[in-house]
Amino acid sequence: MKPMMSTPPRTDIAQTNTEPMIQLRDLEKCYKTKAGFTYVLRQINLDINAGEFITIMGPSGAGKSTLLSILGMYDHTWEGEFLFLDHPVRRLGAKERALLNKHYVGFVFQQFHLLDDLTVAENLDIPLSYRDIRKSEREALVADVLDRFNIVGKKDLYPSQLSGGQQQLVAVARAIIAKPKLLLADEPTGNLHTDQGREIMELFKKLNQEGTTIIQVTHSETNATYGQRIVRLKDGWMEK
Amino acid sequence: MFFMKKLSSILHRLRSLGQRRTAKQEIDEELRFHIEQRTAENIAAGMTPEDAAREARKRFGNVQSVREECRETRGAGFGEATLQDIRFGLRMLRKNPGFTAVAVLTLALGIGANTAIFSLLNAILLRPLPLREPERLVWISNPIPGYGLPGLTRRSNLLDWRELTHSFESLGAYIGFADRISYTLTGRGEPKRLEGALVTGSFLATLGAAPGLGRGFLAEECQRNGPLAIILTDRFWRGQFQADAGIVGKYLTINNKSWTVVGVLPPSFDFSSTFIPGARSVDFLCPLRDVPGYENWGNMMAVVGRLKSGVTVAAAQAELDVLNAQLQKAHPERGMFGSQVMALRERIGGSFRRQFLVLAGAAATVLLIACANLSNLLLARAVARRKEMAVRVALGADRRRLIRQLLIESLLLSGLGALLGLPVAYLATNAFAQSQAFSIPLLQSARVDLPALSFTLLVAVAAALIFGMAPALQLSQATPEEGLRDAGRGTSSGRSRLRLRRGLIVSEVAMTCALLIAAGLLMRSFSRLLEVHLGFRPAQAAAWRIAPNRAFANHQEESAFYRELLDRVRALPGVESATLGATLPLELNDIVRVHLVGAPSPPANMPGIFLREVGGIDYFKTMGIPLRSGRDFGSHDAGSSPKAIVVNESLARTMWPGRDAVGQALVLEAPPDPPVDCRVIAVVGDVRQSALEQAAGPEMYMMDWGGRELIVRTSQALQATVPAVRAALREFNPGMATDEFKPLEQIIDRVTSPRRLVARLLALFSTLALLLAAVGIYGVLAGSVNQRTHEIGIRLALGSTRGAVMRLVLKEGMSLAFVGCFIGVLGALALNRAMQGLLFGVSPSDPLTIGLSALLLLGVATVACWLPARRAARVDPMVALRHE
Ligand SMILES: Nc1ncnc2c1ncn2[C@@H]1O[C@H](COP(=O)(O)OP(=O)(O)OP(=O)(O)O)[C@@H](O)[C@H]1O
Ligand SMILES: [Mg+2]
Repeated sequence: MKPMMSTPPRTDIAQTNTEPMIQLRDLEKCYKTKAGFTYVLRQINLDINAGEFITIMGPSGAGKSTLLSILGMYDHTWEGEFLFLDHPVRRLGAKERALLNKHYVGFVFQQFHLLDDLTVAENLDIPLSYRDIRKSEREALVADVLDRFNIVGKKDLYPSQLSGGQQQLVAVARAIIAKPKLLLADEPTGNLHTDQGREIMELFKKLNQEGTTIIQVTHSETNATYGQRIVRLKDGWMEK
Repeated sequence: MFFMKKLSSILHRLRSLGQRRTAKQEIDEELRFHIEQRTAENIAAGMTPEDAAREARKRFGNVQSVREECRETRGAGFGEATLQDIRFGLRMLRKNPGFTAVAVLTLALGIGANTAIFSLLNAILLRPLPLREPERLVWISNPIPGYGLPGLTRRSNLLDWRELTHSFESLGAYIGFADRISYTLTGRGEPKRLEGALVTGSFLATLGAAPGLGRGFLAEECQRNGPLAIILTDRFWRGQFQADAGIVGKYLTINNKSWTVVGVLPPSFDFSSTFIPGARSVDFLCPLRDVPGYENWGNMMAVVGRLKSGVTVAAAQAELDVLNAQLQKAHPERGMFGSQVMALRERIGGSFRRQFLVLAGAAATVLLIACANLSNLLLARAVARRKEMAVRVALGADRRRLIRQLLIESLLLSGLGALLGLPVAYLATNAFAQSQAFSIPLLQSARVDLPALSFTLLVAVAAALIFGMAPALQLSQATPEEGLRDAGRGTSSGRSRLRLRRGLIVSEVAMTCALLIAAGLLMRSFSRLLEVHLGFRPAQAAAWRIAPNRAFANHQEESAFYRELLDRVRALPGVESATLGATLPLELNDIVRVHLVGAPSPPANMPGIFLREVGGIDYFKTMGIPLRSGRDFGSHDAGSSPKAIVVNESLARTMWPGRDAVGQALVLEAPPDPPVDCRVIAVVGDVRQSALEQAAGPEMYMMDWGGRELIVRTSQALQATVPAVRAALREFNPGMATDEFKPLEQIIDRVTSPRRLVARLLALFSTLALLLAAVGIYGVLAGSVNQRTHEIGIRLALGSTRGAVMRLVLKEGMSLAFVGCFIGVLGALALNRAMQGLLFGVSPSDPLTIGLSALLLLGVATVACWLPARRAARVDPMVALRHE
């Protein structure tokens, strides 16, 4: 939202604020399947401070995406405790969760989830329009981001007309366009050329320096080096 | 019922949407609460209040400014976001051209039909008469048949009412048999027969219908030897004089006399379609130049009144009842009479209320069925759109925003449907309005006007809400967690969606079934009506409206003229027989009273007797009325005394039960003239006189040379004889207009026209409904087969026969059809009371109609089920299994 964008960079928050932005206590997640209960996350205890840049790593099926969607407050069927800026997420209703998400979170989905019937520019515009931002301002932001990601030429194309990597770029651009305080990125560079991947990582680094808290999932050790801390997951358990 | 429960929960949700505080307010409050709490904690930890508050605000962001920003942008955002939704909605419609075409087309038909019916209903029932303060206008009819025309009032009574009542500001009348007076316009090309309406001088003033051009009649023009004046109707003025405003003050030669055109009626006031729908339209009004001799005509005044302000219909009725009792005592020579006061608007069109309400109901049902179909299609598409919605929610869309977006898509569909439906409605309405075929009052004034357009808008919005709400609510429930995982497809919600879709199919089948039954009953009534034994043979016979347009020196000369005319026509090749008559059956007929010689008053239970004046020999032969006993009229019966009369079986039975009527004597009352002695020379079959639905009452025939109707029966095709007859007439009397010729079958058409209209429209609507229901069933089953391809593949792979697969699908569809049919039959039986008054010769629970309708519906449903079933049976198990 505008005030969030117009307020000065929030590096100070990271310094002055010692209380974590995210606190997970004994978080457990299981799916009920025909075979019975399958645990996907076990006893996750994790504190993430505002301003941190965290990398989650682990083999396929370890539960990384699951954890990320819990952090994004999309998923609420879990056990344990999750405080988001001191909000007890468990006790929030769907609406409040959605609002917290809308206020704070930008999300890069592993499967991109671009809207097929919207052009690239419109896909970028969507988060802004749901945040009731004025049209003129939105247009400026979209133009800015298109330019930053070097996809101005693609702005009127539909996702189906893009390559996988280009789709991923749009997905990342869409996640950061509303200037979220918390950026959750699920393998944001999986489909990209190394140079492009590095550019994204540089962008993340810059955003982080400007105060954005970032949690990324990646299989790339190089990408992991951009973060300050690595959380390793295996079969739902946190290592260490 | 499941569907109803769903509906009420939808309605509940709709209400609560409006009432609930916005989520934004809630979260703001919550955030504020946290800030306050945090501040308190900070203070407890030893910070100064200012520091504590600053720290807390920092952690939670500046809520206040967020709120203000939101409020500031919302106003601007709403319209703009709506535009965005519209743009996206249009794109979605373009993207699915097949779906869009089907949806828009069905909606166009549904909305068009509703607009058309509304336009008719509005003209016939709702729209106030285009007259000054129309709510004060009343119609005063005479419920007691006496001497003259049924329902009308004699001159002396009108004069007394005018004099002695206090309820009315004014009373006026037109003459009920005005169409029996012939007018011929000459001096402007071919002689042209005109239709004139005789009205009292006060008629137009009473109605409050001021001429659009010129003036009303002056008092002197209503006097016996006053100047001859006429007022033209708008239609005639436009047709004959090309709307020449200079016509006022000019003279027209009518019946060889010179008449001044003093005015032209406004286009809004159509005398014919208001008072005498279906009859030949009136060309001009002329004042009844009141003379006491008119008293001899008996009941002839169709009386309208303008109530004084504040006077009710009931009060006027009560006053007239008292007055009539006194008048009857004081003037026994006027015979029996009464009066019945009703609102003029009720009299005009009121009798068609039930028909048009049924039609409106049918049109609404068709639209509802179309909506059910669309809802179904949208629900089917909703499966594919769940992911889109989930992503939108994940990106921050709130529920209201999604519902708005989805409803806008529905509104676009119905808007396009309305746009396309309007021309349909416009054409249909104009076709009905311009058609002279239906004797329904004010039908000709039906137009797709502003109220109709507003109605269309309303219907379009309502339709969009009806078909769009359930899918929108369902889709807007999308949550990110279920939609974002590609594999995650909630099976339970899928099942409830299927239940909703099946519920929709059942309800649309039920509605279709009820509609089919209603249409079936009306069509059967109609065909029953056509099977009615008329008592005469309309086929191969036609009537010419003739007017000699000349004066006769005496009665002999006149008789000779008509005798000669008949002889000439009869001599034409192809003419089997010809005769003359004053009126035709099923048109306005005179009513008289009779009594037996020596019994001074008619039997108390004796209804009025229809009197038909026969104008030449061979009448019964030409009309095809069977002679039961006695002999046909001969030339010598014209001036005979006692008057030779022919009675029908009904009258013979009433007057002389068990005896031969031929040779009996009868006295015909003709107040205020002395009674006439009559002798029965023959008994003929009964003829339906006033309506096909009504059994014939007592009838009698008298003969005198002359008449306005030349009736010709031909031995060859009717049309082939027409030119010869016209030529003969013109040669015989060049001044006679001969253009008006009508097959007798047309009379039947005219009296059955309202029923025909309703039956045909209902048949049309039920056909549409049937089609829509078939499409609906097909759509749901095809979708279900598509979804189950994998399952069907497994079944086939496991050894199921194709027949079994086909039966499986057929069973799924037909069970819905059967349940719907059953409910529809029950519904039709429950609604039969509304239909009762519209039916003729068939019971509302007629098992044949119900059975046939259900059978037709189930047959169509079978076809609709069979196509997807066949597709299911053709599934290649290998392909189906590989693709999942
Ligand atoms: N709807 C579901 N029902 C049952 N199990 C599920 C469901 N969704 C995910 N899982 C299981 O949860 C586990 C964790 O999945 P998740 O997507 O979090 O893995 P991941 O670590 O992101 O893997 P990847 O690196 O391949 O993206 C997997 O074993 C998966 O099978
Ligand atoms: Mg993953």
